[in-house]
Amino acid sequence: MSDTNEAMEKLIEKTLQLLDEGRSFSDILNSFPERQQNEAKEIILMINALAAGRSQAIPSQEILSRVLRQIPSITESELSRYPLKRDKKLLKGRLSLDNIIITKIYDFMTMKNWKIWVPVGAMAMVILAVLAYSQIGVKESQYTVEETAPVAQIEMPLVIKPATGKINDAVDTFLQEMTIDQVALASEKEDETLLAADSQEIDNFNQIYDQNEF
Amino acid sequence: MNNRQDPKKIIDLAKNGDVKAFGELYKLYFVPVFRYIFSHTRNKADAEDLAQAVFLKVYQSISRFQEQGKSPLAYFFTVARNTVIDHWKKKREITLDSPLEIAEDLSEYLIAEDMHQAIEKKEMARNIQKAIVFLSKDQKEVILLKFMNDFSNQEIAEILGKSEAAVRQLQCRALKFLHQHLKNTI
Repeated sequence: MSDTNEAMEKLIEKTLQLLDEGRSFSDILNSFPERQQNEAKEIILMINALAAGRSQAIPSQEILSRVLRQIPSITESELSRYPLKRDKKLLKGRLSLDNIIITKIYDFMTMKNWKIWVPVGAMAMVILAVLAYSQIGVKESQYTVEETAPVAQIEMPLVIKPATGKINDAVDTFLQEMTIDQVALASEKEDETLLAADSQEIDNFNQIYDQNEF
Repeated sequence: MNNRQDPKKIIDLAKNGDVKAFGELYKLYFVPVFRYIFSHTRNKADAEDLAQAVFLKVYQSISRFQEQGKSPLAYFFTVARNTVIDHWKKKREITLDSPLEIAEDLSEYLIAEDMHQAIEKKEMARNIQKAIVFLSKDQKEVILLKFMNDFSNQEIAEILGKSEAAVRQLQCRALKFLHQHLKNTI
């Protein structure tokens, strides 16, 4: 019995598969061995009878026309809930601020995919706010840096005497024209010379110094 | 069947007298929905009223369907199925197949063909309609959508929210049951 059931199930599966592939009923029947031809034929007749219902239940186009005539009455009542949306041209005179706001909110909420645009807009606002805040922070730190910047060195003003035509005066003037830095540089060079001399003295001392002597 | 077109657009165009849109609406949605409802109600007047109700409901709630990401056809059939269920709940009766009723209802829609063949088909259809009552709800849906409405397994899977493999299995079991039932009754 179970073998018969299994065989019938396989027969039906194969029939349906061939049907889905677009094979004709005669092709399907011929694809079965002779011993299965009767059962295959019964299944095919059954499917044919079911499909016959398809051609027997065709509605008239008049019914659809009737349906479409009903639809405007539905939409009119829907629109009456939103008088501003119905026809803005009918609104005479200047719109009050309240009406403008309500209209804009309605337009926004009824636009397509508003559920996508609202979060995207909110995220964009957050990103802009973060960028603005970071820029303000950078400027503040710049101000702080400027405030704590070391005071620039004050240069001593140079006093230039008018030319007298005398060499001695010119030399004096030249010497006076030397800036404090130049004088400092000169003194630094002197210090270097003194240091070099000191280190030489130390070396000389090391050479004559005998630890064991003491 | 292209079931990805925006039905609201097609309905609006058809309402405004676009002949092509009307034809598309009729072919894509109205005929399948009507057939589906008719196969459940077995009554022409009820099928017309319910098909009208389905279209009005779909038009009202069209934006909701677009958010759900369903195909338009699947949405039409979801509404159609719920409408039929509500109809039976209101009637509060279980309709048993009446061969005479079926014969009378179907005769109005018969396409001209050989009379002998027509009678044979009607007889077979009558017997099968009797047997369909005893199928499970899912098996019945699959059989009607597959053979009555000529939907592919993929479309049926989308309408019923099942896998294609499940749809094939339901078809197979339903046909096996019908075959056995017909053999026992004849």
